[in-house]
Amino acid sequence: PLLALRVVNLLQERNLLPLGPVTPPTPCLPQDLQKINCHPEVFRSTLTSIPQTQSLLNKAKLPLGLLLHPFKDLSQLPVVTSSTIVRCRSCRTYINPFVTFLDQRRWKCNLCYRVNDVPEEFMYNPVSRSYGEPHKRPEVQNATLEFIAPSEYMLRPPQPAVYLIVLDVSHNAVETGYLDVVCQSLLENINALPGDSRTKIGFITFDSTIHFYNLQEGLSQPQMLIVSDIEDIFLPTPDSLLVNLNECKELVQDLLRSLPQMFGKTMETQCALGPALQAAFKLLSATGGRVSVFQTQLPSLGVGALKSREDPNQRASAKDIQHLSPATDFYKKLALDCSGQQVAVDLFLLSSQYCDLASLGCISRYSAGSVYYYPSYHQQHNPAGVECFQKDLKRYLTRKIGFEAVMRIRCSKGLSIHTFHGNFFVRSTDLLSLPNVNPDAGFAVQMSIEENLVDMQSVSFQAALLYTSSKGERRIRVHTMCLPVVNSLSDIFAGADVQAITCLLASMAVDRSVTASLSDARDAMTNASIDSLTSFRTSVLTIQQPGLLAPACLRLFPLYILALLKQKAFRTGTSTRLDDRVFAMCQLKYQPLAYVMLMIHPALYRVDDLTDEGALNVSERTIPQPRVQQLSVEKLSRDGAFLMDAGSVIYLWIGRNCNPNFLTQVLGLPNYAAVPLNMNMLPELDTAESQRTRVFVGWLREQRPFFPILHVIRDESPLKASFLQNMIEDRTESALSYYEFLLHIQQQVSK
Amino acid sequence: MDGLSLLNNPGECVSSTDQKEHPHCCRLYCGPPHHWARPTPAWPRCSPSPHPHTSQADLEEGRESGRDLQHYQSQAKQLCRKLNAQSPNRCTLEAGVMSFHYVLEHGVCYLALCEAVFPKRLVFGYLEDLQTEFHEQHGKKVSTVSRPYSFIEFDTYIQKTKKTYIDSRARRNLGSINTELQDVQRIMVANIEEVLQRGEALSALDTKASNLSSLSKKYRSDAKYLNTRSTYAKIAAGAVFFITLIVYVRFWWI
Repeated sequence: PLLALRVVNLLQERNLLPLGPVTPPTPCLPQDLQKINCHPEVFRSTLTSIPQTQSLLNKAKLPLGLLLHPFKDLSQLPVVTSSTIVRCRSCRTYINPFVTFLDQRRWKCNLCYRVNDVPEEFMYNPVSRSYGEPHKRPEVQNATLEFIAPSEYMLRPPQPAVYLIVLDVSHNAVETGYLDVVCQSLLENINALPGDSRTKIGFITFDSTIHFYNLQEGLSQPQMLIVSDIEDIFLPTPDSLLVNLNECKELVQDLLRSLPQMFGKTMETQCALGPALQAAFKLLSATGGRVSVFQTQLPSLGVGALKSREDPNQRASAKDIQHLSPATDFYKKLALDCSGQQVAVDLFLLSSQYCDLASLGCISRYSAGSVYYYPSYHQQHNPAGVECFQKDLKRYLTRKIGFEAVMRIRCSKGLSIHTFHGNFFVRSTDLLSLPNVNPDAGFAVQMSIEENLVDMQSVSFQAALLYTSSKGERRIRVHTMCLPVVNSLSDIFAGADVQAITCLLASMAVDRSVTASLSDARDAMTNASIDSLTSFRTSVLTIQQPGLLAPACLRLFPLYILALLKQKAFRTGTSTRLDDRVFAMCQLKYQPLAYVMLMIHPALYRVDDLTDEGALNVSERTIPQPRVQQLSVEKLSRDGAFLMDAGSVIYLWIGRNCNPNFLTQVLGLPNYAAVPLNMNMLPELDTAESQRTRVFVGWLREQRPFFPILHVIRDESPLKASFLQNMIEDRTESALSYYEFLLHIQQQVSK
Repeated sequence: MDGLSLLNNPGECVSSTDQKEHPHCCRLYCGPPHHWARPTPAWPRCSPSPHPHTSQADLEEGRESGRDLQHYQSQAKQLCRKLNAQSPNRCTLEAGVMSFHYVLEHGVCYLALCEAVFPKRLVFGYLEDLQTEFHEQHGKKVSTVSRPYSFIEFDTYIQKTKKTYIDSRARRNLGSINTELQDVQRIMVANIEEVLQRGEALSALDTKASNLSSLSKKYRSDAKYLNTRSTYAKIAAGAVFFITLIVYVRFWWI
C-alpha cells in the first residue's frame, strides 16, 4: 500500500508506463485468504479496499463496481459432483472459502452472517477420505469451481445444442463473397461443433423472401421451401427444418456445398431481415438454442425495415452525435421474446455501407448474443478482412458454449448492486437471463453501499452461473471474491484498480451517450479524473506541492481518460462512421477487461532490436519481451520499426530509415521502397530475427480468442492515419495532447 | 436446370392455405425412477443419497393447455414414486381423457401418456420397443448413474420410435407386432386416482381391520377365561355352602 500511495507529479514524470503489462493491485487480505482468492482475470473490483460508508465512497469520487468474466476458458477448474450442494438457508449463497466455521457442525455465511448447520454428508471429505474436516473439502478450498447440478436446478430437461444459421443471400451479400467463407468454415468445423448425439442444426436464407431447407433423413438432396408471405411468417413444415446433425450429416454437407452456387446469379436486392428473424424465433422457440445471423445491408423489407439515418457530413462533427439509440424497438422486443425461450441471436455484420448497428445490435444485446462487425468486407478488395473473418468464425463455431443459463451476483449485507452492463436481460432484481453464455463475454456491475459496513473486516462477492453444457449436463459455476473493508480515504486510494475503473467508466459513458448525449458522456469522463485527483489532493495529501499530484496507483488514470476521449466510440471532430462508433461502444461494454484495455490504450513496442534479454520461456519457446512505449510519435524513431498491439488489430510501422538488417532479415525485402502498401503477413524466414519477431507476434495473438490482423505500415499506407490516431499523447486538430490535458486537469483541480 | 438441383419442385411455394393439419401428437413421457428398484436401506457410505429423477422426458405441446400438462406431469412424478417391486409390471392407468401406460423391466420404468382412445396395442408395442433398445444400449449403466438425465441422448431414439408409431401409414406395417402383446387384454387397468390416493387409505383400512380382528380375538379369549373363572368360583361357593349346611344339620340334630 505504501508503494501505491507514492505521490507522482504527472507534469514532471514522463515515463509512467510500467515495463510490462499493468498488473492489478493485490487486496490487503491476510496471506492465506489472498492465496485462495478469486483470480483477477475472472473477478475484479474497481476498488480493492471497499469503503466502509457511502459518504466515504462519495468523497473518494471513484466508481465502485465489479468486472467479471465468469465463463472464461480456464486451464484448471475443479468440478464437484455432490448429492448436496451446501448453501446458506437465508441468502442461498454457495459455501465458499471465506465462510467461517464456528465448530465442526456449524458455519457462518459471509454474505448474510447467518449460522447454518453443516449437513452430515459434508462432513466426509472424498478427496482425502477423512471425516470431520469440512473446511478441507474442495468447495471450501477453491474460490472458482463448478458443481454438477441435481434435478432441482432444472426447469425442464437439459436442452440439446441447437444451431440455426440465417444467411443473407441478396445480390449485395453474394457480391462480397462471404457465403463461400461461411459454408467452407462450417464444412471444416462441422464435427467440432460443441454438442452430443442430440445436436440439431438448421438453415434459413433470405432476400426478399424466406427460404427454409427440408433436411429430413432419407431425402436424396436437401429441399428448399420458399415462403413469400413475409407479413405473416409461418413454418412450412412442422419438423425436419431443424434436424439431428449426426443423422443428417450428408444432407447438411450437400447443402453447404451447393449454397454458394445456388445464389451465385441472384438479382434480388431487397433484404427481409425482420421476417427472417421471426421465422428463426418460431423455429427455435420450442427448444432454445443459438441463431447466427449474417447480414450485409440495411434491412429494407418487411417488419423491422430500417432507413439510412447517418448523415455523412456529420461524421466529423465537433458537437453531438445523433442516432446512437435504436430507431425501432422491434429488435429489442424480439430479443426479449427470444430470451424468454432461451434463444440467443449472434449478429455478423459484413457491410460497406451504413447498416444502423444501433438498432440491429439490440437483437444481440438483450438475448445474450454477440455482435461481430467487418466493415468493408469484400472477397477481393479486402483479403485481410477475409482472413480475420475466417479465423473468428472458427473460434465462434468451436468455442465452448452454455445454454439456458442464468447468473446471479450476490454481495455481503450492506452492499447492493444497481446497474448491470453487458449482453443479457435482467429478469427480476438481480437475476441475469443468458440464453447463451460464451467464454468471450464480459460483464460489469455498479454497486452502492446501503448500510455502513461497521465491524466488518471484509466483504465478499459471489457470482453463480447456472447453465446447461453442450453435452446436456446442468452445471453451476461459482466464483467468490473477498475484499477488505477500510475506513480511511488513503486506504481507498491505495487499493484503486485504475484499469477496472477505466473500463467501468467506459461502460457508464456508453450508457450516458445513448440516454443523454455524447458530450455529456465526455464531460462526465473528464470530470471523473478531475474529481478523483481533487479528492486525493484535498483529503489525502498532507504537503501541498505544485504540479498535478496523483497516487502511483492512479498515475495512469488521466492517460486512460484521454485515451477514452480519443477512442472511436467517444471522439468528436474526427470523421467516424456511425456504425464504427456504435460497434466500438458495443465492444466497450461486451468485452472482458483485458481486451477493452488494449482497445483503449494499445501497447507499443520497438521490434527492430528484439533481444532475448528478459525473455519469457514458455513451452520451449523464447518469447522476447520488449518494453512498452508511450503512445507518442516522439517515441517513434525513423530508423526503427514499431509494433502496436491494439487488441483486434496489430500495426507494424516501419521507419523511413529503418535498419536494413530488419528489412532483409524479418520482412524479406531489400529496402524501404520495396515495402508493399498492403502487407499482412510476416514471411517465414530462417533468420533469428524473423524467428523472434514471429514468436513475439504469435504470442500476442495467442493470448486472445479473436484473431488480430497484422498490417505493415509505411509512410504512404492508407492505414497510417488509423495508426497515428492511436498516438494518444499527441495533439490533433480536434483534441488536446496529453500534456495539455494534464494542464487542463491541473487547472480544474487547483480551483 | 443448372445449379438449381436442390429444388425438387422448382418454385414450390407454400402458402398459408395449403398448410397441412398436424396429426394430433401423442405425448409421451418416459423415465426410469432410480431409487425404488434397490433393496433398502443398506447404502454404502459414500454413494449419493437416492433421489427420484427421470432421465429423459419428452413433452410436446399438443392441443392441451399448459396447466393440464403440469397436472399430468405431477401425476407422473407421483406415480413413479409409488411404484415398487410389488407393482404389476405392465399396467394402464386411466386419468380422465388421457391414460398412463407403463412397462417395468429390470428396474427401469417406461411411462407413456396418451389419449384414452389411442390403441393399447400400439402403446405397449412402443414401450416394449423402447425397453429392448434401452436395455441393450444402457442396461448395464443404470446402476452407476450419478446425475439426473444421464441418458438424455436416448431421447433421439424415443423421438424416432414415437414417430413411427404415430404415423398412420407406418401403423399398418406394424401389423406384425409381437404376438405376446395379444395378451394386452390381460393387462391390468386401474384408475390413477385410486392408485395415487386411495391406495393409501385402503391399506390403512386394511391394517385397521386386521388390528381390530386380532384385538377382538384376544377379547374373546379373555372373556372366556373370566367366564370359566367365575363359574369355578360359583361352584366353589356352592360347595362351601352345602358342606356348611350338612355340618350344621349333623351337629344340630345330634
